Amino acid sequence: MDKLYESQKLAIWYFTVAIVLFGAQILFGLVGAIQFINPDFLYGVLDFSIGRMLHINALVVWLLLGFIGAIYWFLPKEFNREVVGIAIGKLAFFILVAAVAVVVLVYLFVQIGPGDIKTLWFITEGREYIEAPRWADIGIVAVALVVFYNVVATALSAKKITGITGVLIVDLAALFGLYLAGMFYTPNISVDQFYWWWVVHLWVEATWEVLIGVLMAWSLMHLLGSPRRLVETWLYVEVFLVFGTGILGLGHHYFWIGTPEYWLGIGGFFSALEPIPLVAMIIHAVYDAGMHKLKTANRPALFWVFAQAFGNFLGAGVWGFMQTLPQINLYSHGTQMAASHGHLAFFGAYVAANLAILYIIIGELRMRGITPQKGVKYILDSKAWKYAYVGMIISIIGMTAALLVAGFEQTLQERAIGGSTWQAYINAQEHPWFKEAMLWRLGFGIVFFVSYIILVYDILTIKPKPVKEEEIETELEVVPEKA
Amino acid sequence: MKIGWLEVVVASIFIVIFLTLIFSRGSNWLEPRFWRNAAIFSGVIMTIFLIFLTFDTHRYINMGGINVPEPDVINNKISYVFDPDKGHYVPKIGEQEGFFGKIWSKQEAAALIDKGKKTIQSRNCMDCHTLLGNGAYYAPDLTKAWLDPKWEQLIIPVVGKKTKEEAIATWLQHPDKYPTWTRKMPNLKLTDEEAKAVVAYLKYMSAIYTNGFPDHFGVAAK
Amino acid sequence: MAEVLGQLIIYGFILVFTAGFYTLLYGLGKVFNKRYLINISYIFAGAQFMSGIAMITPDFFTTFWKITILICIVIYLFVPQGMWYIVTRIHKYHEH
Repeated sequence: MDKLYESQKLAIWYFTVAIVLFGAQILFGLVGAIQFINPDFLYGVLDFSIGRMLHINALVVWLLLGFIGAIYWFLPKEFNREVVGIAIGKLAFFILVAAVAVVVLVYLFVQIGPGDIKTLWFITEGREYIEAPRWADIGIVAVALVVFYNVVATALSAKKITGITGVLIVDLAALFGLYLAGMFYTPNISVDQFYWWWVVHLWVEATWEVLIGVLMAWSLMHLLGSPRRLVETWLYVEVFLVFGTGILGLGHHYFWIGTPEYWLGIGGFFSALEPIPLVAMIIHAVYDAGMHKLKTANRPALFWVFAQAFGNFLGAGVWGFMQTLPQINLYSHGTQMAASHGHLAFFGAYVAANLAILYIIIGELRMRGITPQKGVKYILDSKAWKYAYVGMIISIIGMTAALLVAGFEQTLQERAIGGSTWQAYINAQEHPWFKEAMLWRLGFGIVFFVSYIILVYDILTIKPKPVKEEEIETELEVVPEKA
Repeated sequence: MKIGWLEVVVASIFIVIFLTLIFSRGSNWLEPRFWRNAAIFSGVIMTIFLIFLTFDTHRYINMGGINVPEPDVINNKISYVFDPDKGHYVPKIGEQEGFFGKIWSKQEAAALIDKGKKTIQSRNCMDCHTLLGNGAYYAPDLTKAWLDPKWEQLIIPVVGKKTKEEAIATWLQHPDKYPTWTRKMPNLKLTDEEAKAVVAYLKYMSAIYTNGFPDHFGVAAK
Repeated sequence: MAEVLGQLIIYGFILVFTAGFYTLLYGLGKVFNKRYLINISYIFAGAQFMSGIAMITPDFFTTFWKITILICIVIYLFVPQGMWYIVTRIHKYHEH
């Protein structure tokens, strides 16, 4: 049995930390969900602002760690060689983990600081999603540069560039370049939010989508054995659609922050187009599923790939579209409608993708040490992953639906009728629809946490099972002997 | 120069398609080359449009720009009124009324606004409240909070101050002492100076022209 | 106004939701060669179109936006077919 690439070991470390942070994200989410029902819960100890900050920061960081892990997993396979700067890659990993630990401890125990620039450098920047203090920002950029260097240097040393890695390199450059747009202070809140959206929107709705396209392209090649030229053509189609609609789709965040009126039209128009790439992905997923009749060896990975295609459409497409036209957004902006959209879109587009890749990795890892026998094929399957899969999907839809009802009520009562004041806000939060919705959200949140526990159990225990030849089309990849 | 959104939309899409077709001459539309060109041009052209629009947007969002006031707007009376021409509400900057009993010079006002923004960031306001509609949804939106009727109706009598700004500052320093609801704002240990600066920021923010968001603030619908 | 706004949000939701079901069923019908699935998918296409019409009936949007929405829902009627055509053509071209 040959050895794993060092880069692939690094990938496993990345995913380990990512899954731990996923758990932390859910726990802090539950704290926030309880506080909506009982505001005295942990009041003064872990106030909503702190728990919520940890909830969304853990989300961003674990997804990014998963993406980096996935890159490190597929990269040596793509070029048939070890990643060039593996030593510095490992160093960067430890620095990143240490930095994340320090940031979390500071968030938990220092929480806030005086209103001066030192707080922004060492405690929190107080800007939603990118609260990480400035020193940590610099660390994130440094680690990102290491990843970028490793991709480019490995491609150079292999003296070849594939379409997939070409897209990856451009996308990584854009992704980390955009992060710089979030690293400055200005007293002008309109300018602040203008560039803040460059990070938040252009990450989530452009560069992350493309990165996922890259990772899914690799996944499909390994899961279904799709030919490279096909996968690459499809990736270009996706990039075309995502950049074509997503970059100026940024306009739908520029309706109400002091920006000129033409953004209403630009944002509204491109948002109306945004479901198109998502519809394309559904058609593609259905086509692949039908052609292969779901007979792949890695069941959980394939099912998470499908969850990704549909989740992306529902979360980003359906939930996004209904509140994106400016005339409607005038009232729904900044209500639980946005929270509803955020929960389903992040889960559908990114959580599902990370889990799919994690199962691909597990499938290959656990095949090691199994001697292939004639007439026997192996599939990766268990009962537990199905419970986790169904549990997570039902509970995320449950949470999303509850938040949607709450947001709908808030839009009408607080904004359209009440005039958006402090008292109108309180009245809307005290409305029976809202209170009921918060109970349902907590209930589904607990189901989600239980599903997470099952998922972790499955990740630790799932093993390849021998099956009869005709049941599957592909089999788990057996790594060829290295010279 | 005034930019029309429809021109932007049509031009950007047209240029992407045009360049893709020009540069893919000789290729079948099923070839990777065709779609690679489409991907490159959609990325590049849309980015160029975004950069161009960013420069133009700065004319509106810089302090003292078309939509965003100078910091010394805190000296003036601010209200939010319906503009029949625009078809939505707009902030109206009225006569000088002073702030904390004095008129602030440009430099003083700028320093105060700066302190206010830093305080707002250092206390993570955005992880409970929304500002200009962005943030978290655990507490009310603060875009026009300066104009909220609750300050006059409840807070001024409860904290026993004469002016609105003093009342808000006092309340912000002890929100746990004067709860307005079961969900209480935690005491974020604002100093006198920080509380004053945050109030200034709220007043400043209420003067930003936001295309009519939030609609009919403070006026219940018929 | 609040009443109309609420209806518009619901219609907008139904619009994209049914568009998604239309796409899904159309794709499934094509891939498994089941005529009845495609026929059912057209019901969703109709529902998609009708909810778009319902969005532009009340006087909430200006005429210009009404026309934009109308164009959108007409285009959406043909997106699944178009995408199916592109996907199958690309697959056939590269797999043979």
